Amino acid sequence: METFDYEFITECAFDPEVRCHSYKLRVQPMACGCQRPVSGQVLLTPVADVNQSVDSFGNSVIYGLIEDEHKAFSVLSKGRVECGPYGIADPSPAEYYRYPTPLTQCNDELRALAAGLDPAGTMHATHRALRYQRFVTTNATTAIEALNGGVGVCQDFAHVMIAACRAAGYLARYVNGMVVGEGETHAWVEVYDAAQGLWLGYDPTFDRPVTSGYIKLAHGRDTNDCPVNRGRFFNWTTETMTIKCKVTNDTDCDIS
Amino acid sequence: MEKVISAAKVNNLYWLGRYVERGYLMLHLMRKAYDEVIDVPVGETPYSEFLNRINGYSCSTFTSSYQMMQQIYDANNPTSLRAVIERMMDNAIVLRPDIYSESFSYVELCRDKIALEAEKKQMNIADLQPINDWLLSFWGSVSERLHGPTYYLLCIGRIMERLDIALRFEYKKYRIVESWESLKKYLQLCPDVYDKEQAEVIEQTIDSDYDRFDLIAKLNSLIKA
Amino acid sequence: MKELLSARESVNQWMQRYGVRFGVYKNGVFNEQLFPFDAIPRRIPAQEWQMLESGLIQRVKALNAFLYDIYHEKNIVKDGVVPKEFTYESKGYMPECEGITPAEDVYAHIAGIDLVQAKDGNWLILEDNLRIPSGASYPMIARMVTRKASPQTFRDNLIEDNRNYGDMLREMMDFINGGRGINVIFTPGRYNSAFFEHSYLAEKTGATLAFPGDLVVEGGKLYYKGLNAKSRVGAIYRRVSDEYLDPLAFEPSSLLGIPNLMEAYRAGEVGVINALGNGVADDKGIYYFVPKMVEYYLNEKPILHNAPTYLPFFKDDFDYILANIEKLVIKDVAEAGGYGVMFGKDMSPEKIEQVRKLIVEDPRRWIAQEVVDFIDLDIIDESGKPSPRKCDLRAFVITGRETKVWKSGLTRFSRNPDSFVVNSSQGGGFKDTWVMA
Repeated sequence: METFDYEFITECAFDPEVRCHSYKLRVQPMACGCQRPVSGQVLLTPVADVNQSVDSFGNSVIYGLIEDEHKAFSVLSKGRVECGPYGIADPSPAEYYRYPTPLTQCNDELRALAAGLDPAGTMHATHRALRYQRFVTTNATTAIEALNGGVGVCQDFAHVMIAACRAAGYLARYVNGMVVGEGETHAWVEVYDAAQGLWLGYDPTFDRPVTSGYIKLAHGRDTNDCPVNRGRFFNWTTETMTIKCKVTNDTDCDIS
Repeated sequence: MEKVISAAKVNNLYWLGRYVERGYLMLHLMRKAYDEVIDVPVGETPYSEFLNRINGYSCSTFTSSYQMMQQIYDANNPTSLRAVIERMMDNAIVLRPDIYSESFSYVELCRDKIALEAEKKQMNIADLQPINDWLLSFWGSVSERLHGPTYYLLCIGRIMERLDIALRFEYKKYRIVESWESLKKYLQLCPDVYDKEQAEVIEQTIDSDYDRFDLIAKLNSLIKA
Repeated sequence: MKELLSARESVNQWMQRYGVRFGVYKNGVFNEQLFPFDAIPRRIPAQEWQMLESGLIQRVKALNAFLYDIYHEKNIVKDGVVPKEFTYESKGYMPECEGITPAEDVYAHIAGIDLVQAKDGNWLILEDNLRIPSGASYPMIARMVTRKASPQTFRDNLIEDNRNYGDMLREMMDFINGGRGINVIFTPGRYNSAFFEHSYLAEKTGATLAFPGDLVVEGGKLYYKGLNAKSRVGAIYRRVSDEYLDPLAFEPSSLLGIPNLMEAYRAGEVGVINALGNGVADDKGIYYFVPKMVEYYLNEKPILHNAPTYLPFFKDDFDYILANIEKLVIKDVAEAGGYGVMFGKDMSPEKIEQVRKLIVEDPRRWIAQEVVDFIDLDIIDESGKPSPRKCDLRAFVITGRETKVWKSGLTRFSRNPDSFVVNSSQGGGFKDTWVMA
């Protein structure tokens, strides 16, 4: 068992100010098989109407409304989690992870990518097929478009691998989270291993199986099911958003 | 449970009241202008004077009653009676559940009538009399059925429009004072919808030797909707 | 009856006066037109209606049971009655609704079931509409108007009153509301094709007509925003489709939606009429399985039957369809409103080859049906003479405390004598439906 301290900060600035701002956040580490939140808190500025729920995918959701005018909205989520070896036991996984979504539609190229390969092989193939590059793709880029373009960010790597794995008959899902040593949130993939009854993690961006140092925030069929931060407000405005996070391994300190 | 009224609905009720009154008064004033146009030389029509007053800026002139009527029917001209009826409908159509189909139907009748009249080759303002009647029926219908803020807001719009036109057409001062006094009664029943400081300012302005257009501007910023 | 027909002119004037309209977009321009009304009613004898009524109640009960099952245990899939491809791959299935139990377990509060009567007198179900079926307001107002225009007709005929639809809706809404707040009808706005209906139903139910921007979720509850106060909403009859209903849960670009409505709904703080995710049960592919649902959930024999339908997904049906395209109707399961419907008899040989290819490529996407020779009803055409038209019937089934069928319905007729398509977005008009007492 390893222990990690995490800190997640997202800051939105609005110019001019906005009002009647509804927000929905998925910024707390999940409690699932290999991951156990030990302590945690979420601080919002300005202080807002705060409500908790769990969505249909099992993600913790914080949502609410800020009615008054404001120029900034910031979220700090921090705490400590304990993690075992990555693998999430699930005796009856949801069938909907088997079927394509609009972002993970399949075509012949995607089918070919996974043909005859196991999930690890598909991960390697995805990694080879895409080059990491920012500002080319968007939130709405589909797996087919990303593969055609040959470039993308972690979201695109994940979508391509998910579409290919589903085409090969696997249950696959999209994961949002934080990684030791990375200053931003990251996306990776879980594929269901029916023999073990476990969801196993694959990181096509870094081309490595997910083992240790990955803190999971949320999952879904694709990125649309589990964005960390979504908002809607009134006013014509320019929004700038930054997300920062930091995960440190505390295990050594605990031993000493 | 007390029904709350959305800001958009306040706006729609107020403007519906204004447009129904505007339609009625336009017809009234146009009938006068139409009558006067019979006696004046070509090129100097009282109707263009009428338009100048209603808009506060200069309009093209008309040389015949036929041209004047064409102008009335032109939906693309925002000062035409037809455009006023269209705006009336824009506000009425979203208020059907609040004013009920019965009152709504009078606006619908006006809209269909003017569309029908606009198609005719022979145009005479007397043919628009049913519109006049239906606009008055609208007020009868709402006063019969509506209560509370829904009704008061329509009345606020109506009197506001009456004040606006009375000022533009240089009605005698006592008419302005009368309308203002009756507007104040309705405003007191809807304390949330108007700016109280502005009401004080208007009160003082009316007492003084006011400039008409300044007073119109002040009145138009009274309602928050 | 003669009196009613001779009062046609007056009926039309009354309809116009009340603004009975139907919005249509043509080349991106919004136009409102009168929804043509034909004064000759469809009459349904009392005995026949009783059969329809019990069949419709049975069908809607099964559909509601199916929706509950799909978003919870999924026994019908596990037991192999409905193949999993037909649920999870359906566009209408929404995993975002998994595990949510709507107020009083009702999903399809207002079901619009489309039927036709075959020439042999049998009624057949064509389609279930469990999302936002529209059209009830038209026969409602038509009845009000025809009674004014021709009172004698309604003295001479014993007809079930249909002007109670507003009361039926209100009773259902109050039940779902459970006294938590006001009832609202949520419209996308006046440029929606069915805006007349939204505003008329609000008037007749006493619900508040809410527009985008009027509603807000705070503290997990839904409120109607007044000028200086908020009013709690207990039940929302929304006329906005699922994907635009909450921009934070679904389509983020939706300007119509109510942010976080989904959370208020999940928390059980507001009843949403109809529930989200109902599309999985009125999918053209799932339609095939509805009679099986009746047997599975209610352990009863279906009273009403589907039009004979084939699914290329099944091998036998696949072979049959490919061999008989010329005499079948092929429908795209993802389309609605009369679109994506192809009649084999109208297709060129090249087109048939094309459709064959489409079916082979993606069998799940298509269904095929025998062309039902359904009865014609006369309308009075533009020349004032009776002329036959194809007609269907949309029956409205309301489920609150119990499931009830509105004793009327929307009878739609095709625009042209030779057309089988009776959808109002494809032209055509409507008739009143008289259920005889």
